[in-house]
Amino acid sequence: MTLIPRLLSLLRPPTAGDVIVVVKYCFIFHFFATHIGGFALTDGPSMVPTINVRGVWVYIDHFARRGRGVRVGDVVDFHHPMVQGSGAIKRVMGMPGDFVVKDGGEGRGKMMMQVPDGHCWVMGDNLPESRDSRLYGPIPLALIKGKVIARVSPWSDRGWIENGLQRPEES
Amino acid sequence: MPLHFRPFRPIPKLRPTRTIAQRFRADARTTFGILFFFASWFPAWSFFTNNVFCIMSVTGPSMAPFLNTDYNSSLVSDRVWVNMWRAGEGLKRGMVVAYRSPTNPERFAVKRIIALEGDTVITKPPHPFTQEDVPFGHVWVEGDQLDGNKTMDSNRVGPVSKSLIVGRVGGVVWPWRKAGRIRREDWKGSDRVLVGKGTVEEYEFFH
Repeated sequence: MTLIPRLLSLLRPPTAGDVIVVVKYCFIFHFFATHIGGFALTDGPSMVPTINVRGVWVYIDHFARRGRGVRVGDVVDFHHPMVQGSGAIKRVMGMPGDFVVKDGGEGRGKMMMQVPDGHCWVMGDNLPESRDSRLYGPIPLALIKGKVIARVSPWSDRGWIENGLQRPEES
Repeated sequence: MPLHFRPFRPIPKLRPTRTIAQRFRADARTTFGILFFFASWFPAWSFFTNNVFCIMSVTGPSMAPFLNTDYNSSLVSDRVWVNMWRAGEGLKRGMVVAYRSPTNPERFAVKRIIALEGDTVITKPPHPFTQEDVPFGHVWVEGDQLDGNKTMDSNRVGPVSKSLIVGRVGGVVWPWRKAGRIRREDWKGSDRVLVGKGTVEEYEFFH
């Protein structure tokens, strides 16, 4: 049980048991990374005041997968509804039953619509540079991978990503 | 101690010289060893049933008469096997797929793909328009059920994103008389689909 014989035992060729243990720990890591939380590298200008254009690592809380406990104002990471295999990070602006204004951009007019059951309305913080629900409509909550809760790298830019929306003052 | 833990090691023969506490300790070690063994494999099992293969129970009448043929005379639901590895790739018209319901994220739905991206579908009554183009990255799914009130499909919720698809239904495992692979060739096709080019040109995308 001492450390040195254990380290020395690593010098021998791996047995089948060693390989099984390594595979098992890979699955355990994958389970943590998809069900509990993990770090992800972001890219793109759509969330610019909150998340910079390039090279920002964020921590994603996967307990919020499939929209569990997501509220309006949270930043979520989701499977892109149109481009398979890619993800996107946007801010939730409407939950089922909320009314949102779909602003199609210049010359396309505005339309008020109600977010349908099981969907949410997502928009980037950088409105001119973001392709979001204004383009592809409400996305199913089932596509949500998790809630983005913190910037971790670069370290000088670290911080919590907060839900900026506040309840209006009761008068 | 070997690197990998063997919970099923041979239990030593109880000798009368051992005290009750010693026996208890040995039993506890065996029990926790077995529990730890199963717990340590749980993530692997979870990965398998979420990404590779699983058996799903089909409830409701939406795929009758193909699945749940006796939905109004029997409480037994059909069981199907689902191939989940690379689920969204290589989809074809006529495949039966399982996807996360767009209206309820915690539920799955099993429907048949009628049209792919780029096709135009002539819709059925609950849909607000007479025809609709299937957008990039989406498919049009419908139940085999002819009664539109008994199937919650694309005629009600619109085209379904391919990212929602969790797997292709490979075959039936229960009831026995229907057990076997599902053959896409058995599907007659739909006369309400104007087939497009197959894929829409690359969707210009940046975040």
